[in-house]
Amino acid sequence: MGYSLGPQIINVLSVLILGLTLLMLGLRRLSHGLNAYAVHSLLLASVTGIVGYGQGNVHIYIAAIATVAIKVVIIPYIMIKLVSAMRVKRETGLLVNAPTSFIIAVGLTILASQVARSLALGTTPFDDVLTVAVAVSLIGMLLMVIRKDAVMQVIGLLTMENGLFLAGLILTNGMPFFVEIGIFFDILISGLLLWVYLKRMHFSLKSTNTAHLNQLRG
Amino acid sequence: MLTRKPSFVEKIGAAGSLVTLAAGISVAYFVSSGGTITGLDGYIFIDNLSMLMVVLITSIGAGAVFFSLSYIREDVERGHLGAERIRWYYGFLHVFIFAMLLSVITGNLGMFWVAMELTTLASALLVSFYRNRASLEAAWKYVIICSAGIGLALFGTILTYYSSVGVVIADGGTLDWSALMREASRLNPATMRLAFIFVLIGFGTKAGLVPMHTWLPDAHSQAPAPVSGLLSGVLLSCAVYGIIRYNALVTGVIGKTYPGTLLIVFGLISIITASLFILMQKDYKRLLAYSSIEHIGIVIFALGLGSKLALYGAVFHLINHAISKSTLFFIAGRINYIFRSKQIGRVRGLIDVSPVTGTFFIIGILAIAGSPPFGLFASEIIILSGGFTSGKHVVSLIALMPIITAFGGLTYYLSRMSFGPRTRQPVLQSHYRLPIAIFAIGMGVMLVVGLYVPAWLHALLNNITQSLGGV
Repeated sequence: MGYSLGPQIINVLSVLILGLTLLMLGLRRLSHGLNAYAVHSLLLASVTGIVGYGQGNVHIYIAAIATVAIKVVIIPYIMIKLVSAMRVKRETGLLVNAPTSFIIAVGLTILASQVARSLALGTTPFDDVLTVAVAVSLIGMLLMVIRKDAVMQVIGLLTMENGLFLAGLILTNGMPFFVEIGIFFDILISGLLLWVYLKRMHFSLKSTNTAHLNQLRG
Repeated sequence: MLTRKPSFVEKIGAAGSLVTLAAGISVAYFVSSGGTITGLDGYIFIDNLSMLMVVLITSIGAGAVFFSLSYIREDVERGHLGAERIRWYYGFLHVFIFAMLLSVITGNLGMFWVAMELTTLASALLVSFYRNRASLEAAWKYVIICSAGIGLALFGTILTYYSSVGVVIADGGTLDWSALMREASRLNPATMRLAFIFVLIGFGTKAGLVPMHTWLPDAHSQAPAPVSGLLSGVLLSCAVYGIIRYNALVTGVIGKTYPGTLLIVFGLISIITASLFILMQKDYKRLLAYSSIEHIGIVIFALGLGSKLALYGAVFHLINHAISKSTLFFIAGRINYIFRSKQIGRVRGLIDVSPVTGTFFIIGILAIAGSPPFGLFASEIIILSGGFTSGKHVVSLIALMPIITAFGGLTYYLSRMSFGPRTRQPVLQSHYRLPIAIFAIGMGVMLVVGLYVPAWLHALLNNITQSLGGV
């Protein structure tokens, strides 16, 4: 698509995505986390749309629309509805405090830039975007590891998926069509499944703190 | 799911599994008479290795469905399950089997990823089927850890696609395994190195490789016994199948030193860790789960050795483990019914309480521990001699030690559970006869392949080894 407005907008959006991901590490209210995820997905959908426009590729447009439908609307909506019915609305007692997790995240971002450089895209203006994509995946994973609340773990998982999607988009301009459909289908189903488990946890444990899940050992 | 009547649901479920089995056998017939089934632009690709997996999935799947007939009924009789949930059970079970079949019949590595994720989702619903706190915990860990792992595998898949851009098709990449294999020497080596690490960790999580295994003992012990059998015997094999395909591909790109080293390291860590955990189990289903980690570790280790003999042994071991472990989990389900406990300490004098189940349990544990004359002994010997003859003495010795440790642990618990005075606790006797036939078939097959490998199986294994580039 050449050096025009498109790549510059993509770069700006990707910086916003990285900033938002770092911000998510500091969020403790569950509903804030879910809203942040919805915005995160919206930014991702915008990047997808712009890449689709640059390529003139219909099936990337479809991916953008699917992103909006599944990750901006359906999953955040049902999760927020569930969280608003819970008594505990924020996570207490973090395993790792926010400043420390911030420092770890910066380290992960440096690692991500190494991975992105080793792939040596070079020819495209998207090296930084790839760094962001890998960093977002790693920070999503970090979120899953350091948070004890199940809702936050789900947000971490979904954030990680967003990062991977961005990496796939930048590296390959979209996977084969049926594979892409399959990936979206899986994300939708796994979102629904996790929602079901959160509901059951809320119902039987009166909490989504995974510290209560401690019966199975060894 | 159309009807609420349990007996009708069971009939449909059983008939469905027979139809699937018949389809599996006809695929086997077609492929073994010299054909490779391809179609839908490479989305369907069934060669000898896929055919072998199809036969394992459909036959063990049918075994699990038929074992479920009695197992689930007994659960309903004891009030563990509501009768209205039977239809969901069979529904999920068939979706699970379908997802596994999809993963092995597709020649597209992206579709393989989609199918693997689908197996997690379908089987998670079965893991948490009892709806108690422990099964919720197991299912939660299972979904979260495997989804994260499989996310890494997705990144590996994307990188594989990226490494092929402009090589196979002029203006794009491909994920068609056979096309990638043909052009392996022209794929981008740096990218494929990176891709293999992500794929190995990602699908290794599903295969239960240490240190990504923490979900496995929980999920395999909390699921209903027929599902445990499928998870341990077949689903792990499907994940390993993916690693086998990627290993062949990466070996074609950058030679076997790099993937081989990674596989040997992961394999050895898994074998050693699992053998230590086997020594200190209190729950016999967890014991079997750790034994699965050990055996998958052995298969991965054998893949890493990379010699023709070791590859042959790896695939053979995969078959043996699939059949014996799934049968053993079914037997464990029956023991759980008889003694109403999964605790090793609560099962006493099994052979006295139930001579038939007890005998099959003894045979099963001996088979899985790798004692002669069963199939797993044969394949372990093949793998180790493959290691020693290819000059990898040290790692082969390191692998041998924990295998012996695990043997000791398994036989110790076997004697504690089977012999001695019977428990004072009241026991139940299962009056269903069909499970006995299933146990007999599974263990019979193990005995036959342990004593001699039929010529057609030998030819099949040789053929698979060759197609994977073994020399």
